[in-house]
Amino acid sequence: MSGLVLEALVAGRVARGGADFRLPPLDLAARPGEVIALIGPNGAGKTTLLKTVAGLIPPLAGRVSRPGPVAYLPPPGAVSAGFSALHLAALGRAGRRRWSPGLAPEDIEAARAALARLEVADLADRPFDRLSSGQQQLVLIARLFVQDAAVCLLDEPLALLDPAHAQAVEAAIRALAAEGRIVLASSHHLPFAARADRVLAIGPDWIEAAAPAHALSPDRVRALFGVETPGCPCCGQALS
Amino acid sequence: MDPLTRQRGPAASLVLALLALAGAATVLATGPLAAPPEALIAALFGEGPPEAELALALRGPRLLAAMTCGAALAGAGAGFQILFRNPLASPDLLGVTSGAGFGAALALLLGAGVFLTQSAAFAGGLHAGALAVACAALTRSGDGRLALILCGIVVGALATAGLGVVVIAAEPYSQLPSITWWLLGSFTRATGAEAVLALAPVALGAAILLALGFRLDVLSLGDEQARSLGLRATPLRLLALAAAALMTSAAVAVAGVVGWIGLLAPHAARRVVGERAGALIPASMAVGALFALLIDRLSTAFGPVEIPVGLLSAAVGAPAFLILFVVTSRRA
Amino acid sequence: MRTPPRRSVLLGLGSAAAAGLGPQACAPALRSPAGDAVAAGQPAALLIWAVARERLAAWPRKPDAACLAALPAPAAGLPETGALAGGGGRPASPEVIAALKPRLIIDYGDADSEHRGLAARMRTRLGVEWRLIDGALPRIPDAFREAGRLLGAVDRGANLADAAAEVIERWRQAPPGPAFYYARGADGLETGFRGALATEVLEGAGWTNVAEGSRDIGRVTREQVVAWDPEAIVTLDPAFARAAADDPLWRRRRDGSRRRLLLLPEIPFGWIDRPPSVNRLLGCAWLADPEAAWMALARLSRSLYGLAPGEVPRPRWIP
Repeated sequence: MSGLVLEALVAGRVARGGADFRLPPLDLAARPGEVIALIGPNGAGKTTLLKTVAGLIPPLAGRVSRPGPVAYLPPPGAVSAGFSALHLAALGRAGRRRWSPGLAPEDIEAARAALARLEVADLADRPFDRLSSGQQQLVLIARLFVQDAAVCLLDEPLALLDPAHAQAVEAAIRALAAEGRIVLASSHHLPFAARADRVLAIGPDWIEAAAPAHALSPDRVRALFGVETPGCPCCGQALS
Repeated sequence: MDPLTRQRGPAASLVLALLALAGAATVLATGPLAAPPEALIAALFGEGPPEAELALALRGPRLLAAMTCGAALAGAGAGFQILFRNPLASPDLLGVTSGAGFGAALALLLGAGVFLTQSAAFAGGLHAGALAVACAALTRSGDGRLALILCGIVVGALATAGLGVVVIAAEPYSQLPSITWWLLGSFTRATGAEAVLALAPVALGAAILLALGFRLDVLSLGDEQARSLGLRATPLRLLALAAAALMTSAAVAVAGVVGWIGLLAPHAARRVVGERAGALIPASMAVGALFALLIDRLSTAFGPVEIPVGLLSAAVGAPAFLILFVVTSRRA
Repeated sequence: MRTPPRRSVLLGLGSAAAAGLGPQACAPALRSPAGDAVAAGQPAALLIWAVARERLAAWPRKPDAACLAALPAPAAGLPETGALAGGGGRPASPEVIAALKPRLIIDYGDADSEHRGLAARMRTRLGVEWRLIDGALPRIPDAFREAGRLLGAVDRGANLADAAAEVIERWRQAPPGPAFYYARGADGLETGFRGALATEVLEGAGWTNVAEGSRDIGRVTREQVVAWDPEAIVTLDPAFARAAADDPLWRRRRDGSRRRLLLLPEIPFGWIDRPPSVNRLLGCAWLADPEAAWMALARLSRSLYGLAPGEVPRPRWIP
C-alpha cells in the first residue's frame, strides 16, 4: 500500500454567516505502517481534520491523496447498535459486498478471527449496546481489522477506557499499523503520543508534525495546551 | 437472550411459518357458509361441491388481503425501525398512511368505485412519501433521518387536514359513512383480483428490503458510519424508503387504515430473532401476517356485523404491545 | 399507528374548519332571503320545503346539481349553511344562522331527551323560536300538521297530512315482498340491519330484512350476504347497481336462480332513506302498490317537491 499524502490541506467548516473555522494548511506524507498521534486542545479541530482526511467533510483547500479506502472511527459511545458484536464486526466487509445479497461466510469468519485476536471472542453473540465502552471499542477496532482499509482514522480511541482496556486498544492500534495500514489517532493521552511514530499537534494557530520527542517537549506542550504539565494531563503518567 | 438467538432463529422462523399456515387454514375453513372440511379440500383441487367452491372463492381473497396487509405493514415498520434506530417508528413515519387515506377519501367523495378508490389510496400514499422525501432533501441537513421524520410529520398532518376538508364536503348520508368505514379498515372489501394486484407492490417492496439486508444494518449506524464502511447512504436509504412506501401504500389500498401491526410485529419478532435486518424483516412479516389473520378472525367472530379491523388492531395490538413491553423490561 | 380517525374526530376537525370557513364561505352567497324559517337539519329542510317552500331560508346541505335539476328553480337559489343539529356533515355556525334573521327554527328528527336538551340550549343562544318535531315515520301526518301551523300554511299542512295518512295506511297493508338485503355504499357491504331507520320503509311494508344482528347500520362481508341468501337486493346507489348487475357473486343465489336487484330513485331525495324525512313517503306509496297507476305517485311527488309529473323518476328492477 502506498502512502497517504496531504497537500496544503486546509481542513475546516464553512459557517453560515460568520467566520469559517479553518485550520492552518497542512502538508503531510504518511507511510504505510505508521502510527501518527494527533494531539491538541479541545476544540482545536482534531475531529474536523480526521473527518476531512476520511472524506466525510470536504476540505476548504488543498488535496488529500488516499492510497485506498479510508475507515473512520468516531469517539467511544457514538456507535450504537442492537445486533451482536460479531455482526457489527462482520459489517466491516460491507463495502466489499456492495452488490452481493448478503455477507459471505468468510466475512463472519474474519470477524470471529478479529474478535479472537483482540481477545473479545466471548462477546461475539452479545448485543453491542450491552457491552461496556472498552469492550465496544475493541469490537469496533476488530471491525477495522475486518474492513482492512488502507488508512484508519480513530477519534479519541482511548477516551473513557480503564487502563487495561486502554492498553489492549493501544496494542490493537499498533497491530493495525503493523499490517501495513496507516493509522491516525487523536488522543489526550500523551504517553500514547509519546509511543507513536509521529505526533501531529494542532495549536491555536499552527499545525506541526514532528517526532514525539520534539512535539512533547515541555515548551511545545506548553505552547500547545497553555499549561505546565509534569506528566500526562489526563492520567498524570510521566512523559518518557 | 442473545446467545441463543443464533440457534433459535431458524427454528423460530419455522414455528412462525407453521403458525401462519395454521391461521390460513382456519380462515379458509370457517365462516357463515357452512362447508365441511372435506368439501373444502376437494374444492381446493377444483372438484368440490359448488357450495365449497363458493366459500373458497369468498374466503380466499380475504385471506390473501389479510396476510398481504399484515406482512406489508410489519415489513415496512421493521424497515423504518431499523433505518431510523427508533423503536417507535411505524409505517406512517413518512405520512404514507395518511396520504393513502386522503387519496381514498377523495376518490370516495368524487364518487369512485372500489377499484378506483384503491388505486387512489395507493397513489396518495406514494405521493405523500415522495413529498416527505423531497422536502427532507431540500433541507440538506447533516443527518438526513431527522429531516425525514419531521417532513413526514408535516406531510402526514397536511394529509389529515385534507381528509378533514373531504369529510366536511362529503354527503352525510352516503359518502361520509362510506369514507368512515373505509378508513376504519376491512379485509373483506377486496376481490380476488384486487388482492392479487396488491401483492405485486408488496412483494417488490419486501424483495428490496430483503435484498438490502445487511446494508440496512449499516444505514442504522448513521450516515457517517455508512460512508466510512464504504456504502453510499443516500441512495440506499431512498431505496429502503421507497420499498417501505410501496408496501404501506399497497396495504392501505387493499384494506384501509390498519394501525399497530407495523409497530407491534417488529417488536415481537425482535424478541425472537434479534436485531439483524436479515432476520428481523422476514420474521416481522410473518408475525404481521399472523396478527392480521388473528384480527381478521375476530372481526366476524361476534355475529354478522363486521368489526372494522382498524379498531380491532388497536384494541388487540395496544395491550399486546404493553404486555410485550412489560415482559421485556422485566427481563432486561 | 395513529388510530384511524373516527366520525367524531372528523366532525371535530370539520367544525374547527367550518368555524373558520363558515362566515367567509357563506357571507357572499347570502342575499336577504325570502324565507325566514331555518331548518336545523336536512330532514327538517325537506319538511319545510314540502309545507311552505317559500319560507325556507337555506339548505343545511345543498343538494347536488342532479338533485337541484329535479327541484323547482328557487331551490338552487338558496344558500347552504350546514346543520345546526345532529347527523353528519358540516355543522353550522350560529352566527351564520343569525345573519339569516330567522323567525323560526324547525328541527325534525329524533325527539328524544338529548335532542330536547339541545333544542333548549339553542333557543337561549340564538334567541329564536326553536321547534322540535318528532320524525318517526308513522307520525308524518302529525308532523305535517304541526309544520303547517308553525309556518302559517295550515291548509297546505292539512292536505299533506291527509295524503300522508292515506299513504301510510296503505303502506301498512302492503302486499308481502321478498326477503331483501339493503346495500349501501359503493361496494354494497354496508347495510341497515333489521330495525334500523334506513330500512324502516321496506320492513314496514312487510319485506323481510335478511340482515339481523344489530339494530343499526353496519358492515358485513360478502360471504355473510351469500349465507343469508336474500331474494332481492335493494339499493339507492346507481353505481353499485351498475357494478353488481353483472357480478355473479351478487346475482347468483344458492339454488342457482338469479337474485333480483332493485334500484330505487335517489333524485331529488332517496325514496326510502337519505335523508330520513318525508321523502320516505314516496317509498311507502310505491311499496303499498308497486303496480299502481303512476298518477298517484306523481301527485305525491309534486306536492312534496314541486315536480311536474313527467319528471318523476321510477324504481327499476334490474334484469
